[in-house]
Amino acid sequence: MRSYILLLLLLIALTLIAVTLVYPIRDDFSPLNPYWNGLEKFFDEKNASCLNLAAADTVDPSKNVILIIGPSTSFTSRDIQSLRIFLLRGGRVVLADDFGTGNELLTGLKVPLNLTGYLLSDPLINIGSPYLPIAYWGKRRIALNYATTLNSSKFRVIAQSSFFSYLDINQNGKHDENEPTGPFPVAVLVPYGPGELLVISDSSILINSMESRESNRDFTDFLLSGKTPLVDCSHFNMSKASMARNSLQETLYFLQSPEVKYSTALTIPWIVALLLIRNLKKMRGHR
Amino acid sequence: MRKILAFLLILTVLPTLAQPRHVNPEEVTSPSIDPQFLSSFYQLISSYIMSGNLTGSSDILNHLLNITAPPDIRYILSRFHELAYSENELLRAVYSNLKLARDLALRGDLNGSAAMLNDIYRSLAEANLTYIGLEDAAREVERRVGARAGLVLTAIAKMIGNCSAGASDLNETVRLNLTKTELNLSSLRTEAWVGDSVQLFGSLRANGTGLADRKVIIVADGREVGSSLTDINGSFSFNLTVPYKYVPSILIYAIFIPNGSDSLRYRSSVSNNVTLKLKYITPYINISVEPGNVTPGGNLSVNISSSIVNLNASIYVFDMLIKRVLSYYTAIGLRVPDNISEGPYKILVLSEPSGVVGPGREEASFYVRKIGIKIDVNIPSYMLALIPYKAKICVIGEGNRSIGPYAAKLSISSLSMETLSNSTCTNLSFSLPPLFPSGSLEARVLVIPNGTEFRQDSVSTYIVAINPIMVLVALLIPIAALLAYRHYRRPKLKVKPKIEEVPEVPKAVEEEKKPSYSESLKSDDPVVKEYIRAVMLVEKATGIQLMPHHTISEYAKIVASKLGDSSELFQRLSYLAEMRLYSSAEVDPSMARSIRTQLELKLGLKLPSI
Repeated sequence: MRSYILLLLLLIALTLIAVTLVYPIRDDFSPLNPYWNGLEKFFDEKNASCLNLAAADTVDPSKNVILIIGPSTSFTSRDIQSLRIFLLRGGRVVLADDFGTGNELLTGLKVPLNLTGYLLSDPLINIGSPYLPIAYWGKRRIALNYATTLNSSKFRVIAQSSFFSYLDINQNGKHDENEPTGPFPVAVLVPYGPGELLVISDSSILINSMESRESNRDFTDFLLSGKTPLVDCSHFNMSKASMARNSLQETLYFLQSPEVKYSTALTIPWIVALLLIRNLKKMRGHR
Repeated sequence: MRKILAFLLILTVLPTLAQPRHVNPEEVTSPSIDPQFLSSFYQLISSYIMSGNLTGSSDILNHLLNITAPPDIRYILSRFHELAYSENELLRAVYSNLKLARDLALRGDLNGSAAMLNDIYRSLAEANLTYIGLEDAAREVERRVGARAGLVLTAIAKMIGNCSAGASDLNETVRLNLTKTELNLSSLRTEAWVGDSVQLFGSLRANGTGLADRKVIIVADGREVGSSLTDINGSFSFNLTVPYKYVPSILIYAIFIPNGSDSLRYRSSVSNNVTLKLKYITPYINISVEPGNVTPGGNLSVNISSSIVNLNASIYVFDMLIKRVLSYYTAIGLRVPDNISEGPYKILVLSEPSGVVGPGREEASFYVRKIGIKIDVNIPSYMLALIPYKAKICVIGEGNRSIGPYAAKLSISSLSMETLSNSTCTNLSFSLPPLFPSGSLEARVLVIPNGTEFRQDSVSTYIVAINPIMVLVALLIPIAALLAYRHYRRPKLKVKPKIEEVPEVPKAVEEEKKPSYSESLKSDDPVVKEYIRAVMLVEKATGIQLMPHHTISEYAKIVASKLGDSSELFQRLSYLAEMRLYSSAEVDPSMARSIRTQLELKLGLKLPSI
């Protein structure tokens, strides 16, 4: 009876693990999310990996670009200090944010620039909705998704919204008299010592449903400048499913440590051999 | 409870109130275009066209070519914008050509002007043709979108009218047989100081005869500087004040534009150019910067010498502007900003011109260099997890100078720790965490000096980490597997004992075994004998022993459920035994035997006879 309960518990545990691993992640910006709002395509295509921002100072600036996409949680002083060191070592950092905590980072880095937090609308030049406006990067078009704007007069503007865009401050879907009209800067380049900080006022240009729209892919290549992207995964809001999967992955990481890995690799053939010998003996006994 | 419910409700509702960060572009539906919003741009285009800013209107129309619209109105909108854009481009060409043709006519180049007029008329004809299509498109836009496209139409119509009128005026002037005029200009001097006066002379003639009382305009360095009237011989003179321009030379010329009745008789004309060399004093400025190599936060000494005193100078360095009045020797002390990056820098001095003293310019270079640091790390080559270790980090600047406070960061694989120190050497205590993997790993020490004059640097070394816990885990895995194997193997051997092995039990043990109660029962009565045999059969079949405290009927009841179909036979036999023992009634022994035999058959068991 006891063995039946144990077997049942084992089955339940295995099912839970399987469901956790197989159940699709739907978190915004999750590297494991294959749906419209995830970053799976970007991670696959650009060979990107996750980074804890607190360790940014150990990243090689000649090989990597750090991307901070849609941060939702606060930045610690350690995060900021670490990123500052990376920039001062000549690194390139891309901050793509709209309504998240990006301004905290800009303030922490003492960059006189901020995300206005007002919704950018373009009723005439868009990809299907005024809140999916087109911005111009030189003569090329990049598609935005619920973007805001940057208030900067000091830095080089890389991309700006169209002549017809406006800030829908009260979000009534109509242009009111007091609402400022474009073009507005949506991407600027901030020199930071020998490094550079690229600030984009939209967090969504890299998500699965947007990365191939208009010239977004070319723009991404420009942002990466031929280097390997490291995406800050320490400032996303994670769902319970994601947290469970992360814990499982940490367990897998532990199981992959040399000690566990090699010891298991040696034990399994040994056990299999024992079982085989036992079965052979049994078969001989029956004869 | 209510509070908890309210709190949960707030928690549920709050995320839905948050600003969405994106939507699925596949799920959005194209909304119809806001006619008022579009009309505001038509209004702007119209005002640009009316004011002659056709470049401005072209810019907006160019943007409008890319607008997104629902499929039902997409074609009509794009057609209207295309036509408006091409009409605007035609008018833009007409407008600028008309200006050019007028300039040519003014300069007396009537043939050139006439050729240009032909182009203008061609473009206007094309514009008139496009206008018909534009009218239809504008009507449709107003009807189906509700935007005021008529505003653009009206502005274009007005512009076509204005251009046509301008072309007609010019045509009349150009086609008239006007007399050519000749204008000459000369000066006695070829060079002059800035601010000086220079006398200019000239004459205006038509067919060799001087034209009297005609206004001649003098232009110097591209600007109108005055005018003069011709005398009875057609000659004129002009006293030019040389402008304060600090350039090597300027060009001077005169223009005659016929006025009033003259415009129907004479062509306009432009004189030859007179070149005047300008003289002014260039101040000699020299800059020296000490030292040539400086560290961030260090001091720079800038010495400026000037050949002329009291010059207002602007000094540009490190994105700063410093204003100074220069004397023969001016010394300026500067502090290099702390957060500046390494590299070559320039200091630029520009002196402002004053009177005959022209502007001065001089620059000097210097280099901002950070002081390199040397890092020595003393760290055990072999480490065990959980054991506290110390890494000794010594940092010293170039030339054995102390670097002051600094942050030292040690990272080994995923382990990272840092310390702040003020002394040359510092100890960083750490221990490898319990689940740290064993192996050869890179230990990297990054030193970030607090002083901006020092360069940050890092060194790497390799260590061998051994984690006994993980090694133990490595050993435990096969041991646990072996134990599990043995544990599951044992019960399997137990449950399959060979039946044949039972007789192998030592005899002595069997002899010592106590006989059951039923075996001890003895009786001479044949019916009771049969009952005892039946009991032994039932005991064997059910495993339930007859105990001394059981009555015959009690035992029959106890075993009834286990016997199933055979219980009736056993109950009948029990009844016969009871009858025989307790009622002295006559019972047929053959009946008892027959029942017992039936029971034997039913149970499939047989006992040796008693």
